Amino acid sequence: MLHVEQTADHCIKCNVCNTVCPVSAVTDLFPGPKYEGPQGQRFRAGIDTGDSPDKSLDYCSACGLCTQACPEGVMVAEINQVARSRLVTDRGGLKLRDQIISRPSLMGLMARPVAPVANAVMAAKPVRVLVEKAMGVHRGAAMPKFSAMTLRSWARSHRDPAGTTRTVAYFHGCAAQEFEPEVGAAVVRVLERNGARVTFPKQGCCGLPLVSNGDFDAGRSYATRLVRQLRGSADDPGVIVANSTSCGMTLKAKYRELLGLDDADTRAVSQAVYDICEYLVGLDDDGSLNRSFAPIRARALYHPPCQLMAHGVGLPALDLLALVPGLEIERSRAGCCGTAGTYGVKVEKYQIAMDVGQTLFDQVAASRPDFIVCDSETCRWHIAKSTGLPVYHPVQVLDRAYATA
Amino acid sequence: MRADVVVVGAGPAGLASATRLAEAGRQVLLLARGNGFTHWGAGSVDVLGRIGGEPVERPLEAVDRLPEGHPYHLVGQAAVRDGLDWFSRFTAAAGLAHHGDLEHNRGQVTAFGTLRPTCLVPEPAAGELGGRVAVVNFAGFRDFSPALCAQRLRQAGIDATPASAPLPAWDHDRYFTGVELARAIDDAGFRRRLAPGLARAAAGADVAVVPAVLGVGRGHEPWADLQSLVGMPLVEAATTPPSIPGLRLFAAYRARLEQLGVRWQFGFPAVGVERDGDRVTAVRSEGASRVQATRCQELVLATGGVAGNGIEANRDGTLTERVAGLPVDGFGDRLGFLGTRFLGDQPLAAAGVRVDGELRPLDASGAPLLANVRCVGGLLAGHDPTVEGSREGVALATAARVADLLAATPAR
Repeated sequence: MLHVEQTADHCIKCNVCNTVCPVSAVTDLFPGPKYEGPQGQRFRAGIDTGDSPDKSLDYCSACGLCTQACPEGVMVAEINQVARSRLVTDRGGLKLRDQIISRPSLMGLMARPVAPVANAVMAAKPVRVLVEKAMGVHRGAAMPKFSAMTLRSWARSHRDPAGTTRTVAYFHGCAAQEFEPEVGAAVVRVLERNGARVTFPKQGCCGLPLVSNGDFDAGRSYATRLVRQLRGSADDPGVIVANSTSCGMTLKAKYRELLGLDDADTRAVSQAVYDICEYLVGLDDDGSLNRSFAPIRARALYHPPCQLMAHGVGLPALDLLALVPGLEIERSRAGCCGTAGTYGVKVEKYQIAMDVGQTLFDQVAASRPDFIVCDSETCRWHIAKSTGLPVYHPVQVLDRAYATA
Repeated sequence: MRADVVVVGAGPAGLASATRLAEAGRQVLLLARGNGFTHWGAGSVDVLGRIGGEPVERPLEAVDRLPEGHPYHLVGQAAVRDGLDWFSRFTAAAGLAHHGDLEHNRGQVTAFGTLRPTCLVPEPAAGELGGRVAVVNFAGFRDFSPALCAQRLRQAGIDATPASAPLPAWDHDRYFTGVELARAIDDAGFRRRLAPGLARAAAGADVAVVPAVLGVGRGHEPWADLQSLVGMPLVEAATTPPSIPGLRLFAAYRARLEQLGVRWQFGFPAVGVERDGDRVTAVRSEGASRVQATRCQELVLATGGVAGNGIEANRDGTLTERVAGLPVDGFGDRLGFLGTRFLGDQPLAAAGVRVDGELRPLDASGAPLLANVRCVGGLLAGHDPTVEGSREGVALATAARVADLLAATPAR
């Protein structure tokens, strides 16, 4: 396999990537993936100083739409991410803000004992203004609420159902652990409705926020630790499900593509990882999905996150939601909601994220669904904050349909 | 994963096939390694522009003079007609009306001032270049030279004069692309501010040729509106990629596919098939961490020739079809790939998969190889879409044939 940066050689300068970039469509601060990626790459080959020709590549949100549009297999977004990591190294590492927002597990660890207080403080406008001024986290950006109870503490009191026919390991990631244990609990219940016993291998953060912010060294140490932790599950039970779209994508591909981890252990783990909806659709293909869903009489809009498209598994959530009687699903026409992980919380990028998301927000305003469904947590928070509507993980909808059946 | 029909490729043939099969009631998954020729072409439908280097005036008549084994002979004139009729209805319904007919070729003006022979052109490119013609660029747009365009048009006997129209203030303070300009022109307020300067630049002319940047997200409406604001016919000249008329067409396909419930997946090429005897049972495609199989009843390959990545040219002169490993006539060595003139006949560009009358691939002895695989568009042997100017015509005619063949099979 070609190294990410070598794929620049396949660029035929057709500009197709520039036509799909949601960021350059709304701001001049980012000139477009082609100029930054394959074109800029020629100047970064290390022949001279290896310096980046253009520091504006920091404005790439890494949504990855350019890579998917490229007819020649150039890994445009990944070229930019590698180049950004060099910029960060040259600057002497991440700024304090980016170091903090890149470590959700650490944030959770600090805030959990005082979760109600932390949430109340973070909900106060004057505090957000201060945080913006001191830290560069935009006052309007969506912030998840810390949960007083973690998913793992919920799981300790949860009893395995009788009569299971298969076992899957669950990579819940930081979001379900620290902020949304209800999503993790829905994942577990839905798997159990399908005869699965769910195991909770010891696990930490996958390192994605560090990687996307450009600290590859720190990301690599998170990655190697997580691979060690999940290695056993890759053999037994052999299936690791993840409900966080972006963390799942990181485990599947980005350790190899961006961090250069291509050892046997990393490969074994990445090949065992399934997005939860991908896994459930696989059960359905074999005729073993429990299809006893009760009707949900509602209209919902489904937004597939940009990172889901990078799994290359189609839109499995759409197939599953179609099985719920009474549920009308409209599909989002937007390629990206704008926030792209931690990108949209930064004070200098918040407005870009809102402008990118406008296509989606306009569609929501026009069709006025009862709720929105989206696989990725940072997207859910951003969309909920921007539209005022409840936004659920697809598995939460299935959980509800099973519960009332 | 599972699908009724898998269509591989998102160029003119794949998009038309997927749309027509979905319209015929099949459940379709479209797999593509990335965007295709829509983004590079001129948004028009070339049926047959040249035979043996000589321009063709009457494409449908000229089809008879094509060599045996040409895709048009395999599908017949009725499919060519059906393909273009369907395309005309589809684009008109999407607000992208095309002008022209199969009986005559017409000249589509390009940024170089040439008149490329084609059959159907988008309405904004269809105006007559009669009387005095102003060739107008928008100041600062670097992908269009009105002087070059006008000079060539004068050589063709057209009374053309170059001019430049100022852009109203807008929020790009750096070099901008045609797509960015087209997005600005989507805005009605921007068009109102743009029109007076354009009218002044073209004053005294009967018609103005402008680069094809008159809006990208709203069909032909921005062109029609600007034309009425300026008070003179505007004719879009085809420019360099990415083709804005092609982007409009792709957006129309995408909206229609979405409406029909077609799933698509971009960025992950199909890399193989699973077989049971003479049937393909599943398509294997790349995923983020493993190759996955999508089970299907029918497979339509619209992956293009060598340039479209449907066929791989190997160093020993052999050629490989990339998805199903179908036989492709290769060459004794790599020198066989090349013709003597850069823009002349190139044997490699005409390489493709040989098929029967139902577009099923044939083995070396000419016997059908796979019963439920159909090949369409540039992947087919027996034509060079670029040199003969037949790309969209072959795509639409073979898509019509596939829709006809597979519509009869009920979805299982």
